Amino acid sequence: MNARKIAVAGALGAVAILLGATPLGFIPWFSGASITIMTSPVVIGAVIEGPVVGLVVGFLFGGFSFLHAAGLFGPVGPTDALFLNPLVSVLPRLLIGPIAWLVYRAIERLGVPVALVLAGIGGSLTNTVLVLGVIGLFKLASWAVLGGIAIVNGLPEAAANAILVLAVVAAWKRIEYGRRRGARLE
Amino acid sequence: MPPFDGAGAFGLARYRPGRSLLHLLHPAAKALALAGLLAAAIVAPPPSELAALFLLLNVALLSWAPSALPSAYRTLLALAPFLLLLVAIQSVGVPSVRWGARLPLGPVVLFGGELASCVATLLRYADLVLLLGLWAATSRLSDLAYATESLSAPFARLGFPSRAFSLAITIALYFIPLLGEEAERLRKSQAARGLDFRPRGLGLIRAVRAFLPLLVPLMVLALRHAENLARAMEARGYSSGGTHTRLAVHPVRPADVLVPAVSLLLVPLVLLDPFRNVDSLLRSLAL
Repeated sequence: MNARKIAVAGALGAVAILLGATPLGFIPWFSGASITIMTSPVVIGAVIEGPVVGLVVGFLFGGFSFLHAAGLFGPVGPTDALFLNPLVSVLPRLLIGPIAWLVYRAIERLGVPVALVLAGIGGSLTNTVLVLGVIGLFKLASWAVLGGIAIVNGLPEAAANAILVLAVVAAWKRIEYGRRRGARLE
Repeated sequence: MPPFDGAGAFGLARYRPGRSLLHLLHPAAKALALAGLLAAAIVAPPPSELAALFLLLNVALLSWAPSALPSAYRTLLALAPFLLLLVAIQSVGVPSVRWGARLPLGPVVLFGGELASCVATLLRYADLVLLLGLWAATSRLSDLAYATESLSAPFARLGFPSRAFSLAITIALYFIPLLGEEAERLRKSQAARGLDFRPRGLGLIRAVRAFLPLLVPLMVLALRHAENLARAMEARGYSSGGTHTRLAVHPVRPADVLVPAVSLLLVPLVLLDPFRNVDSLLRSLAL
């Protein structure tokens, strides 16, 4: 890993932790529900600097949610108990970056904006499926309930992450997409 | 949207300064000991070993970091509603634990075995919270990076970037307060421009778009800081290969070998179920 990859992994790891520790990572939706967008820095790291950076950012995100579940970074919510198991909190998060990178590389030739959207969806769904899958394997909740959570929560989260990944990477790499392509100053 | 403060959120990390055996332990030894005890708490057969570990952890917290004990119990209290639901799902009505005396609890009749299983699950989660509380009370956040590098050093020969991994953790820990301040500055400036973060209706795209003026500049700023840092590192001759020096060095002492060895030995020991006679006695009493 060169200095650039290390610095990007650290900075995006800090963003992932900050999103988890503050209301910034939870976009309020309707009737008190919120969409979590903590997987987006992991996907952005993987897309910009490769799968190893995605893996490191994913480790920081997972490690934080494990320590957070034990109340080490302030108040906890009732469902945080599930994340006291590192197989639920850390292991699935390690795979978000590499899988998002694979999706991005596989679809890149169809157009970078499409690849970014699908990488965002792929990374978010990896998180949803693996976290809920491990919870199901440990019999901490029934598969019917987990399936419902995956559809009601997982799909909107995937869409939100896709939008965010596209917006951030396009702004960083100055990729033009959509109708609004910025002001022309010349 | 309430104001947030990244630095403040991490000021709540539970380190309590001290000179105890645990405080002075090598960060890698402490992380190994933590891993051993976590594994023991996860695999221990219920309930006597879990109760013994619970007592041991309470005594350790009282001896080495007494001020961390209330915060650990506050966490347990916050987790209580979900834990109770979890133990009910995992223990009540499960055929393998429907043994022992019937205990009428209002409209529900519990078996002794179901109650024992509930207590064991609660003890297991309490052990995990107390264990992490003890580790956090006696470790600085920077110890995480040191421990990661020391423990992953043997894998460096296989190509694992252990130093880079540890450096990324250190950079993340130092960036959090900085990005927290940037986020607060962005929130205030966007609010001054009339941006409203409150959700309006069911539209998902609208909800996400309301946050984009805050999240996109924050992440781009983080990437810009990372690029500046990378340039500064390269200008100072940083290279991922070769030998590096450290500002703080933790020498390895006999206790740094003994403590993790004992904790790792606990895993096979609890699997042997040394308190099975106590468990049998409890079971016969429940019957």
